[in-house]
Amino acid sequence: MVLRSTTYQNEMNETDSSKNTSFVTSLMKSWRISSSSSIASSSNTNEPLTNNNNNNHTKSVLSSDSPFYSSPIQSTHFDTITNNTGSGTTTNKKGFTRKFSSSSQDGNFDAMAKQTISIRKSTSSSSSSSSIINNNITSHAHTSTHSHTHNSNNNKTTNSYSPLRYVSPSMTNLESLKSSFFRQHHTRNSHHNQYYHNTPGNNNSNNHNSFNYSNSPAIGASYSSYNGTGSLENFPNDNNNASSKYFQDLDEDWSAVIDDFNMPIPVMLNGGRGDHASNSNNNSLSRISTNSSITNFKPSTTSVAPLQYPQLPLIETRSKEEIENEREIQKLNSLMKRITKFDNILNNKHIINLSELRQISWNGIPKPHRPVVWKLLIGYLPANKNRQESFLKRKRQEYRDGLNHTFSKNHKRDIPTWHQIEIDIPRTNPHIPLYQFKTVHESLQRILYLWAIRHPASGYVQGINDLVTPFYQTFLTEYLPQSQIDDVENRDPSSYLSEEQLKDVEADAFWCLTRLLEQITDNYIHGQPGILKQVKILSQLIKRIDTDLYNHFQKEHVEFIQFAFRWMNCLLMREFQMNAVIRMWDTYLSETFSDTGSSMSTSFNSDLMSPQTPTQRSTATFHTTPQGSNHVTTLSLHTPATTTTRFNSVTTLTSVSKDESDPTKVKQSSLNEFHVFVCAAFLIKWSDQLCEMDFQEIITFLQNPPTKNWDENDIEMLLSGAYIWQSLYKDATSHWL
Amino acid sequence: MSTRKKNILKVIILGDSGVGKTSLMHRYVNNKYSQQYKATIGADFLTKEVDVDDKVATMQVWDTAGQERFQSLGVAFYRGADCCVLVYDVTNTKSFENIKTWRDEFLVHANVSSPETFPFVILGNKIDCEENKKVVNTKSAQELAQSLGNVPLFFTSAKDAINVDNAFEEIARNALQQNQNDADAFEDDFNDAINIQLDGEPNSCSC
Repeated sequence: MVLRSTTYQNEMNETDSSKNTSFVTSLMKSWRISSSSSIASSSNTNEPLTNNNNNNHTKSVLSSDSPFYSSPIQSTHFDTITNNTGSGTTTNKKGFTRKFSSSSQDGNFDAMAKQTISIRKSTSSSSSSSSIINNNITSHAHTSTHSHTHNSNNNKTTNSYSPLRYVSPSMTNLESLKSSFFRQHHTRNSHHNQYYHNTPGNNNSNNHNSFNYSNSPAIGASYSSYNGTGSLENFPNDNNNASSKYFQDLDEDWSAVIDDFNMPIPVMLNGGRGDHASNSNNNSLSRISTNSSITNFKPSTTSVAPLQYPQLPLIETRSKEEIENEREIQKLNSLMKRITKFDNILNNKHIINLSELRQISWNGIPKPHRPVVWKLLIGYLPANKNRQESFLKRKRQEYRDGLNHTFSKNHKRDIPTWHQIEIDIPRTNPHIPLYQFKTVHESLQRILYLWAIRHPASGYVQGINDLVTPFYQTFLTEYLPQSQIDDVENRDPSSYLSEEQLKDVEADAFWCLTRLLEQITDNYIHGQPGILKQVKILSQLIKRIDTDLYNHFQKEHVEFIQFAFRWMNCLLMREFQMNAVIRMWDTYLSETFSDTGSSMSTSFNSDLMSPQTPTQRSTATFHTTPQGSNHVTTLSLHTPATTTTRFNSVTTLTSVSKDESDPTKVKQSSLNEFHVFVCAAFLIKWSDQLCEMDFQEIITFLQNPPTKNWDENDIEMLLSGAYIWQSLYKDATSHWL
Repeated sequence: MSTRKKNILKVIILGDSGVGKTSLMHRYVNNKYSQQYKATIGADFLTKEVDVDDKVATMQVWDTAGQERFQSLGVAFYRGADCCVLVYDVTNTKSFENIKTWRDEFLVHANVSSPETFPFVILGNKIDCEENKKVVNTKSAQELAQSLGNVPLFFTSAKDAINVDNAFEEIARNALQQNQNDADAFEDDFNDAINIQLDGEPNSCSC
């Protein structure tokens, strides 16, 4: 990955990167294969500790993981793990780390991503990392690249480090950390083998074979998992208090945790969800995998093996119900903890720390917090607490004024638009009862019509009716008691909302929809250039990531536009159930919306916060080509229309405020940009199946992918995949247009 | 390509939003009707094995989105079509008036070999509606069909399964005819068509 990152700095030299691309591709493919239950059997080669060239070295990362894939049982088992990660409850800052914490291989990706980013971040890393390549001293590479990262972050407190959640904040003493971690694991392995953890074993092998990649992220991977449901679930009850004590402040300083020898090992296996039998099964499996992964490490093998056997009956004695109960309790506990974290951020008396909120939200937002957090993340609600109430009042009034004006006699109804919306509303989410109520029909009609006439450059385009619903539905939950939030899809809003409250919900949904669509205006203007561009980037991405699939599509004359148009136009909403979409939006809003919004909303009233628009920069990279100027023209086309109205034009302010001077502010991806990577991850997920299909089967399959039963875990896996692809290819995409 | 094309009939359904294109397609292919179709985005795709005059073929039906904004994509879906189905709603005058527009649009984008002979079929859908709601009279529809070159015209109801199978049988027959004409006359020419694929990559970096 060091080499990979360097090529980024050197403006993505195609030939240089090609061999690495293939490595990354094979690595990613094996991840994909594992998650789709197909078995990739690869031989377990023990790579030498030091490798002579980078290619060999990177391969060793793969082969060190291969034991996990060499046996069918193990890879199925792996599935269990990966499917149970997350549950949307982790609150650590290294969101990404957490997402992959359950497997060593994924830990490596994490490592790669981190490396990439940290290298890009440091100014002088280009020269240093290339010299590293020449020297082939890999461990040296690690230290030096990280020291750059460290230097750039050094002067910040751990609480307020940059929004780059993937840069390890507390990398203060790497070498000592490394050694203590190493030592720590083996001690734990022998002490707590009955709760044997898959991750430590993997980390052993990673540290051993490819220290420079996996070391620090792997630590993050295993330790950050302490905060997640999966890891907490199998804690013995009596250790619960202790663990909460240890892990509460983990994000702030997990090096402290590492120094504690008596900390229990969490069990990631089966994520605490399997039945009794599989539980014990997993236990034995974990031992196998551990042994195989630490074969290179003689001392631990001897210490681990003899101690494991006597513990087995202990698990057998617990009844199924007990385990279930325990799991329930622990699940609730971690959920509570997560909720508390959100509470802490949101209950700040003055200004809500948006970057903290953004980081924690990447992994999912608890239902009760979602309405408020969405409004904050998207930049509708000001972060300044004192201003929120008056701001909401004003915006809601603006919406009402807009309605009054639009539906007054002075306004000439735009019949085609009105008609189009009118026929689309009954066809919006027809399978969800909520969208069959007359109240809701009228609400959506008002929101969409008002939006359409306020944005004449694009006007109403089919698909926008889908995009408004997650907002509308989520904001309705604000008015429901917590216990009834899940009921929102079945209840007529007029049964629990006054007319004024309903208008407030509408107003919030309207403004948030406006914010969302602002980012993707190109998708809906004439000719839909934004979508065409995205489709093209998707095809180019697949060409590089999964050449087999790309070639197969070519052979079968499948064009990306034939299936991917809808993916872009509706942000994959048609592909997933509503709950999955909403979970996906948690990440979308935290990944792709900068703090622009709040500065937008605050800049009206000269607030404390200075305007920042990282989005502007990311749009710029997305539009480096001449065609790319579309975006700018759109904005200017569309601004006068909005400003002439009584509405405060959000667009104008966003495009005006521009702050490039802050180097610590990291570029955030635009919505379109990140979405393409999600689409790529989604497509690649089915790669094996698709490669067996002919044209008709491919199109039919992609028109109706088997995602009906996808839950949040599946979405999280998808988003994590997308995140990896983004970290690898983000800056390259503009070269493909 | 030519061998592939011989037994595959590509049919495109066009028409204004909400006239019942998706419903017609599902009625024909699955013999089902639902009130719960979402608005089509891009295009939907279904296939059906057809047996026309003792010839077996696979019909690939592309059901397109009706909103005008999506017309720019047409080219991706229209190319290589063997028959184009134009649908209007008998209760909606505007959708009837747009039939000619849809036809022209198709001819512009589909790059068909001989626009004069390319087969179209017109369907007036929703005839199950109450009489007083029907605003497009039969006579003007027949006149239009006549003026566009004796285009076959059917009055259908996807909801009540009226005339749908007949219409699609005619569509299949026309498509098959067109397919054979094309294969005979333009077999060699086919590959010379200008490549306007969206995912073509430029030779050099443009930045």
